[in-house]
Amino acid sequence: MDANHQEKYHDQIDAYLRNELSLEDKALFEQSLGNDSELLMEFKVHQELFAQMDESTWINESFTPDIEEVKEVEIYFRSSEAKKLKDTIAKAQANYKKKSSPSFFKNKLFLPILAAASVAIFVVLYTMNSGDSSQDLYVTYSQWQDIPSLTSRSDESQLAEGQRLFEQKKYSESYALFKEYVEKENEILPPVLIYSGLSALELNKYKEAISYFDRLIDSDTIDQSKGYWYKALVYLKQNKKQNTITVLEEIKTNKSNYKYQEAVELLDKLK
Amino acid sequence: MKNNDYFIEGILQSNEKVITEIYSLFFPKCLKFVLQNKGQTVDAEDIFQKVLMQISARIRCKELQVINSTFEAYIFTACKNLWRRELNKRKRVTKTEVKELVSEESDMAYALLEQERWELFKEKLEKLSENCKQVLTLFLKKVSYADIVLQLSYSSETVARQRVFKCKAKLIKSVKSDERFKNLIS
Repeated sequence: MDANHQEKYHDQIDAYLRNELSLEDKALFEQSLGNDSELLMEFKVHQELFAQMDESTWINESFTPDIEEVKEVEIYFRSSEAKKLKDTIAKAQANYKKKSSPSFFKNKLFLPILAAASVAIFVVLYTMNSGDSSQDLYVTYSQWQDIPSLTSRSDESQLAEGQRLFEQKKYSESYALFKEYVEKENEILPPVLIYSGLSALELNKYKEAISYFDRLIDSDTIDQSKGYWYKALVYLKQNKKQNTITVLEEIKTNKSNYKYQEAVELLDKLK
Repeated sequence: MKNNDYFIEGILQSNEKVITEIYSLFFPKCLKFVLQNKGQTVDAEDIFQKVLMQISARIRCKELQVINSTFEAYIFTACKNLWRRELNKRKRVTKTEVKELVSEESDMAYALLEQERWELFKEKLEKLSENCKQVLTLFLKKVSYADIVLQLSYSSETVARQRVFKCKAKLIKSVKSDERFKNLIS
């Protein structure tokens, strides 16, 4: 395929997969997919690329693997060795379930504890191993579970509502609500800035997120240093390694800074 | 912390004690992910069992040499991908198109090969220059060109588009020219 031809294909495919086409153009494109095998091939490759970043989809509808390969693996899954392993796994699973007591499962605290434990395991692992992408690191450190609560401030039901929406991952709504609050009020407490910034971050509104965390950094509060940590995560999510490092270095200058230990670890991973 | 080999040997030997340990250490994270994404505990159990079977199969017949991340990171990615796959399948069943029934073994074989293809793409993406990776990541996340220009300080959208095109063409070429690719498609 010559370069011009390829460029034309790619433009159409990109626009389609990035949802930039009108309904009619979409239909037209789908039609041409049926008539042009070369275009279809390129399209499938692109589908797989987009799936790298889109967790709501999977690649079982683009290509079908070579049938000989499928058979070979299938034979293994039917082997006695695989059957034995499957039995052992079932036993192991039963052992595991017995150990984690049922009352613990019913406990409302179970999920938060589970989350905390998995983060702890992760952090320990990351201190010993490297080689993960900044995306993976971002996921590890962005578990948002030690943000101070706003619900105690019963006079501010808008804030409590915002926190609730945030916890339900309704970030567009929580963002709108906090944004309005921050614009309207003169004195903004650190947790409010954190929720505003994290809502923005979850929506990939990076500039806005940074502005909230900068405001926190510039504030004269005890929580001021939290701004650095969250700002670093904004850069990490965007894969801006150098910026992430710069902000983390700032945390490293003072041991009493929020997430000092994590910042040191993360710096290690990134370098 | 025990190393990758300890867990992998445990799986290959069908060692009940080691596999129980794997459950205690790594299942909770997989469970959490599934629960947060429209799944139930039984779904997570099913997925996790398949992840372990998949590791064994990949070593036995696909000569998976090393898991070059941590065992935990590998397990978690495999868990996420298998669950994404399952959700995608369920979505499809609710549409009119119903795929012919396949045996569990065959379905697991397909899942394994898809996982390999996914890893191949990921590997090639990781191998690009830092600049290419940055711009493609934003592009694939469907960030608008206007924002890409802002975030990466390009001089214009045209420049950004050219960058994306070149980096993407390079990536696709390296995927297609990889020997493994042709066995993973038909």
